[in-house]
Amino acid sequence: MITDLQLSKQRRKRKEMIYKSMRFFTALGIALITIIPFLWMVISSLQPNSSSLFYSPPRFPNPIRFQNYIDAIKEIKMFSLIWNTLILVFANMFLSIGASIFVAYGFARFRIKERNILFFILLSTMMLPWVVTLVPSYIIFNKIGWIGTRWPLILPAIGGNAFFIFLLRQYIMGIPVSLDEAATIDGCNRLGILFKIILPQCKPIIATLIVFSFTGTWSDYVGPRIYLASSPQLQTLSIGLQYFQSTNSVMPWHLLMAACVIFAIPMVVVMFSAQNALARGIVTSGIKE
Amino acid sequence: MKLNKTTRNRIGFYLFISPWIIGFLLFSILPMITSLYYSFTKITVLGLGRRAPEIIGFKNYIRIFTEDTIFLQSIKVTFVYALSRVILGIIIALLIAMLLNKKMMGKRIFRTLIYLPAIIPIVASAFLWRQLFSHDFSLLNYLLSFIGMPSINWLSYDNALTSIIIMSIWTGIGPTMIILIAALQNVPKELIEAAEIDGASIFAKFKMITIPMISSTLLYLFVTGFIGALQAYAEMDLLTSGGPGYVTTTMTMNVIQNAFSSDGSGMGYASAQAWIVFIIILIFTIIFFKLINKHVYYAGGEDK
Repeated sequence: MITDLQLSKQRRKRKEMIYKSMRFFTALGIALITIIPFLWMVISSLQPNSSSLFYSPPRFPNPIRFQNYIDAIKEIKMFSLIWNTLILVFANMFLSIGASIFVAYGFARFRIKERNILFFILLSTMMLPWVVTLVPSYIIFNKIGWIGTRWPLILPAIGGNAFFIFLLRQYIMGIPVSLDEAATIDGCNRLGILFKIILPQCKPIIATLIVFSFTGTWSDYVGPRIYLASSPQLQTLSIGLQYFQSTNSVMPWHLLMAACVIFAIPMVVVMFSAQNALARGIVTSGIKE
Repeated sequence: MKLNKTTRNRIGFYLFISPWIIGFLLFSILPMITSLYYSFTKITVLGLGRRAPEIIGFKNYIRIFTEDTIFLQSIKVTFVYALSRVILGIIIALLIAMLLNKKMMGKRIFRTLIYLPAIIPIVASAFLWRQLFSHDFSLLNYLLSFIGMPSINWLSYDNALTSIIIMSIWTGIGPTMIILIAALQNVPKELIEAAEIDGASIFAKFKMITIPMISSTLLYLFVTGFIGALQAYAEMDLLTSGGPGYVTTTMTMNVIQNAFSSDGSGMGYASAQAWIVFIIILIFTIIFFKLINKHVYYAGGEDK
């Protein structure tokens, strides 16, 4: 009897072990599949020339050519592209998060009859297809002579960002109103409450917004493509990467991949250093109120 | 004069939300009104500011439904793309999420690695995939030959859309997975354990407990993913420019192509098309929200 029980226990344990390692190796396999294209991008960026990317079977770079990175930076004047991208990134970050803080506070802390309907309108603007406003916006910006300037890519941020406002409002509503009331008794006005009570508590969600805003503008493709097409000197990385194609008869894939790695590095750094901030934003966005 | 408390409160409210109101009027309402006007006119990008738009009534709209086979085809392409991308993406992400929801060595690292493709800028991943899809001797075809499959011409007429869907799923899996893991963690453990005691199979547990408990998240992912995918543009523009032969031209892409073409179509016609795109997306949004209200129960109280 006893040995039987022990045996079945052992068997169950062994079965559990097998399942466990099966799960582990499946997860490892999936992680490898998703990561291989990215690794290939890095490997490609070190190949000695363009055609060595397409050997069959694939080869590791021999010799490894770090010079590709310098060549890539030189060929498309990458520093100026990075600079142009960063200007848009910081202008957008500052304006859209700043504006969103005020708007979110308004929606979170004022009890006004029409508040909910206005908030509903705000949420519906997230559903508005961007192509509907793209064409008329182009016409309007063209009228004021702003095509080929950075303004069309910066100015719309003054209204804040509907998604940011939504996240911030959710967060502010989680802060006890009693804190506000205590501050009011101490003679704080609304602005004082926002800056002294609410904002210090909002640090984690603002970190999330900084990550979102940074990644969004850094990677933006459509905006610069539409509005900066006539001004190469203002062009961002998204568009600048295509210069390899237009200036060479044969695509220098190894240089292009080096440029892509440089383009992706800040994103990877942001992801690893702000994992929690990023996850918080993604998860909150997945849970409706 | 002393304002009463409600009025003061109201003024404060509008002052705080004024940035959004200004942005909303200038960058949503004004363009939409402008767009409606231009949709009844004929004007090209080259004519902007040089000549006044010529009002042509409903001609643009009539042309969409009677002559423009490319646009009608692009609607079909967009729906095929959006449905397959979103449904396959959610299924794959759910499988991975269930796997990574178990106790496991290196779970965090796996999660990070699977998330990685999502943060690579779209232009960089498009170039990467163009390389992978490009040549007879690309890495992808080599890996296929490894398991005994013939080389595939990825960006050909027959395969281009599928290839773009593959790339989109690759880039989109991470966020979907993170949201699903969060949802799975909210499934009460007692329910699962009770079912295990009753001897429920893995499949039964999945069907009777997991799926119903995460249904609101699944629906949310489907709705937002689908509405987002209906507006797809960058992936196609970067990988195929809509070709070959318009098989990867989406609605949005067709609108943009027409808006900036110098021929007869132009901005007026593109505005009319954009409104049709808007109405299509609006109809689906309304249907989905009706569905959500009817079929999904949200835990937690009302919005205060």
